[in-house]
Amino acid sequence: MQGLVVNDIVKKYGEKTVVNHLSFSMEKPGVYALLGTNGAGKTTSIRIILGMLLSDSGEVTFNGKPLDVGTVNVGYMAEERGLYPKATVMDQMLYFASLKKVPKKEAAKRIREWAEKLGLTEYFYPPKTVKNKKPKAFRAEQLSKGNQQKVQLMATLISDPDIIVLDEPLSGLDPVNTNLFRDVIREVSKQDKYIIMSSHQMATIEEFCTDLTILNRGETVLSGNLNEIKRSYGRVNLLIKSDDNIDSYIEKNNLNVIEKTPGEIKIKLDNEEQASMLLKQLVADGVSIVKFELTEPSLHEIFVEKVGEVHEEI
Amino acid sequence: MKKSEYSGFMQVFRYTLGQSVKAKSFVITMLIMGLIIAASFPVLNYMNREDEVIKESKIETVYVNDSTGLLSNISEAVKDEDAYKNVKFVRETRNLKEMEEAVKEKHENMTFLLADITEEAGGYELKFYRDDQSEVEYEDLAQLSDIIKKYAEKQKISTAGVSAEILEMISRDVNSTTMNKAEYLKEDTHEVISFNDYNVVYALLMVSYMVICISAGMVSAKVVEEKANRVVEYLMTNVRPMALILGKICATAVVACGEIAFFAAVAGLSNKISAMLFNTKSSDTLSKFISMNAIKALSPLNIIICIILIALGIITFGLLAGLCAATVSKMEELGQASKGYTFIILIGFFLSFAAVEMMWTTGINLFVKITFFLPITSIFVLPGAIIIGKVTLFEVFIAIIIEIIFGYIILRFVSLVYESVIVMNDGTVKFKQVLAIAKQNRKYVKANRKDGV
Repeated sequence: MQGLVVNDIVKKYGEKTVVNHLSFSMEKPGVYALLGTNGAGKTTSIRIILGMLLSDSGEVTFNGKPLDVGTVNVGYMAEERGLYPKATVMDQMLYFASLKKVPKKEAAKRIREWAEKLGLTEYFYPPKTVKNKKPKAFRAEQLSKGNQQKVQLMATLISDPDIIVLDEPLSGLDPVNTNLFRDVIREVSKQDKYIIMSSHQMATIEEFCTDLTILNRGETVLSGNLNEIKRSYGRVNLLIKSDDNIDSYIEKNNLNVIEKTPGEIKIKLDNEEQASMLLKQLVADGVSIVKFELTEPSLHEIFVEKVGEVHEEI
Repeated sequence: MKKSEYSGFMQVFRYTLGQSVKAKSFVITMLIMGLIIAASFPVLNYMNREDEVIKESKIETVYVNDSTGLLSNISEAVKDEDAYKNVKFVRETRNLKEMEEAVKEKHENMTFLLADITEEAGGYELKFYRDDQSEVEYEDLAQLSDIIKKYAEKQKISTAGVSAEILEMISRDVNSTTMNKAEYLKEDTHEVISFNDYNVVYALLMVSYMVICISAGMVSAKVVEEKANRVVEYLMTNVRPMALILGKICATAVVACGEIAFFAAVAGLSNKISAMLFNTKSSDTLSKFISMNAIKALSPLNIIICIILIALGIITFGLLAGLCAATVSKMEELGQASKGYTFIILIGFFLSFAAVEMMWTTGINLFVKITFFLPITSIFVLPGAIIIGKVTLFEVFIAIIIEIIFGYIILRFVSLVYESVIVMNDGTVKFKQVLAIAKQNRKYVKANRKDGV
């Protein structure tokens, strides 16, 4: 099979199974989400995929061959950010590019492009403050956490990798940098790359990912195409905005209100028919309806429901 | 091992080397140590300098109070000395105080010599006095005292009526040894090395110890730094772990050797320059410590062999240092991580040190021979033994083979576990866990080999 295939990965530490028969595939370039609670086995799975850890069984292939980071161009942004604190960002970036066999001139060109894109120019090319004196380059420890994260993103993408793994890329970023990262991910995702993304920010996942796997305590609790999954749930989220008080109608129909704000009520339905019935009643009684919106559940809701279910079973 | 196992080695080597020499701590250490070494040799050479030979003495008269009888013909002592042949020697029975009163008005450049036999001196004692106000300089009188002392020693021998050779013979110690027949018939091969040879072996022992210690220490610090800062996770997607650690080992070895070479060059230069400034005919401080006579087997081949040995030691202990460092996750735990390999290095060093002492005191015995071949000691003791010509080429060849085998075993073990241990961040990895990982990974490797992977 072409593309990236993760087939039946198992990893145990002693008696504890941290990854239990994980399988998924990306036949075409795109963005795949690997989700899970803390300690679900996401990072272990990622490390196995990247060859940093040996699995007890199973295999990872890319275009039909075992995935070898020595021969396939892979970019990885780890959840735990890592840079050499005492080395300059320029030195590090050139080093990382050289590890990926990017020629020096090409690396310098790409560093400049990415520095401009990510707003890091002053750190890579500090302006001259004293005449005829070479400006001191910035060490990684002199950058803020957000800027260090940007440098890491640069390191991940500097070699124009075919497979990109982003483990919590947006965590710890302010809103401005979050938008910047999302723009970059959006741009990269259009470039025929195989991207695996792990995040707790469901809105981001929904924006970029077409397929996903949700892990919980090493087990796969949900896997597949996001739209199909949502469709399988049906449109069960109802948002009503009305000038009139509709509490009685909600009571009468035994509806589950999940959120109520002045002017807006969010209701969780069992099925779409309940929505039709409510609408008919409201229209029949002449209730003033400003908004009546029926939507599929969010990924956040699906995630919480799925992980919550498994906890209950246990 | 696949070629891809070491892919990225050169990049890691270049980066580690570059960052090491750029580091402020490295530059400051080099400067400070260089200054200390550069300043030490002028001081040492000044202290050890020989006095200038006095060509013209200011001494006019020497009043001699001789109760030993050795100096009855004292003018004979200086008859061939240009600087002192005109000095007048006057017999005296008065003491120094009485003499000073007597000659005060003469304003002579006089000196007073009291020759006596005393218990405090353990024999003959020659005391030379000069007036504080006289123009006679201390060095002038010291030179004369050397001449008269040598004369007195000759007189002592001739008084006994024996020649110098017979006196030396009768002065030798009488020793006794008991042994059985087998020992008696056994050929005695315990060749004791000279003091100069000992200095050479000791110096090279210290050099190899310093290089290996510095290199291993730097490797472990860099490994822990990468792990603590989580850079290693990124690096592992770009370069294989063995390339990562070997690149570091080679770079730190170059830095360590460079440091030692720099210090040696500064020492040599400082020694030579200061010797020229202060010493006129005698040898400089370094030459007194390491005589050229001792470096009998200094040839290009032997130098290469020494470098190979030290390089093997650096790689072996570097691998151990890297593995020990990979078992911890924080810089604060570096000391704990260092214990493992430091202990092994110290054992090797102290065994080697004992062997070097034995070479000098009792000769090259079985224990010394064992240290020539033991992997943790041969790297320390063999370079010196090679340079002074106390080991055969065949023995060196065997020692290198043993060292290579030992290094290979360490390399295989480290390559089995390093990749797994380096990404473990849940506290310290115990030695038992390391063994368990090795066992597990070995099974995996064997299984992959069967599958043709």
